[in-house]
Amino acid sequence: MATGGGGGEDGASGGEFYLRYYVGHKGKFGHEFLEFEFRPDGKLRYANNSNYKNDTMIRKEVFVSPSVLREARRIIQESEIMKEDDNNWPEPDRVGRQELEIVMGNEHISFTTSKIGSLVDVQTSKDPEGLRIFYYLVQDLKCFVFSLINLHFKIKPIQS
Amino acid sequence: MAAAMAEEDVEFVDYDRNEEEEEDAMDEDDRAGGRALPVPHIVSQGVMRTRGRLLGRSPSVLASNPDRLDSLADAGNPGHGPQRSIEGWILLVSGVKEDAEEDDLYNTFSDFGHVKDLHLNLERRTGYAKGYALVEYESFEEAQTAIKAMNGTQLLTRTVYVDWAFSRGPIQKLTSTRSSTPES
Repeated sequence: MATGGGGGEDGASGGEFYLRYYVGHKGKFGHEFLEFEFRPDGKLRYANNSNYKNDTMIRKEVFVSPSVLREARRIIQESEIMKEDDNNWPEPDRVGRQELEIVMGNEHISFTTSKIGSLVDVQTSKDPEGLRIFYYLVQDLKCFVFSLINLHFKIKPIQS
Repeated sequence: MAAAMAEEDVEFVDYDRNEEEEEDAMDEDDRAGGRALPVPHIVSQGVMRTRGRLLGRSPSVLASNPDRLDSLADAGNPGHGPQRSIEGWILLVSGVKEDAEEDDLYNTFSDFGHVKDLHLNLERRTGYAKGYALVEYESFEEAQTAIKAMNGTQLLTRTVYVDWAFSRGPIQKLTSTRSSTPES
């Protein structure tokens, strides 16, 4: 049976998989955030709340195929985020908070930091190498999820 | 004021536990039927290595919300097999070479039907293709033909895998016993 196709589940890396990303803040427009998660059974959940133009929250969910989960794992694996640590990353603040939680194989990370405006913030931080990995990974994951949600529901996710 | 505070409390998920407490808290979760974090239910604590300082208060909305979100799935008929998207059928192409361009994919996949939409996302750091593409066809038949023809074949000297992107139901755990011999 062909490997990469639809069949055999775990692929090369094996084991459990869970991913959750959150970015948001509370301000004069209330709690504005973007959050998505991939669950082990393939459920992709997505919520996006921006009160600026209208106050409707977008909440979507869909089951993705094992191939999509495998691709998410690959993106994470290649980033080597699982080797990092958030000890020296900027603390969440008034401007906002990001959270990245991943279970993969026998490792579980729950990282949190402030919003990162640009690479300058990364460069001037106490852990530029680690934070850069986080910075790019988050963008690549958002890009993947936005495409999935956009193609499936034909809505344009709001950048948070 | 008091009301506002109470609302705040509901909104936040209680992540307030350190690593040592975590195991106990997890058993509790299992009994209570899932409080905040879904993660503990799926991991085997013995082999877990946890890192990160996400403790205290997480504003996670998804993790604290057991409600169904909007979905296209036929609620009365969950199952296996591919799920139709709002305007067609979406395929995931993985193993895409980093210097692939949209035209390469468009031309290849147009052999099986009209490609309604195509996302070839780029890696933010390098600007090269991230390694996957999403392709939309109008009909199930076109999409299925593309999978059959393209899965496991070479595209720009690399083997690509083509599969449905969405499923009608959860992934079935066929591989729960690792020692068992492969079927099929």
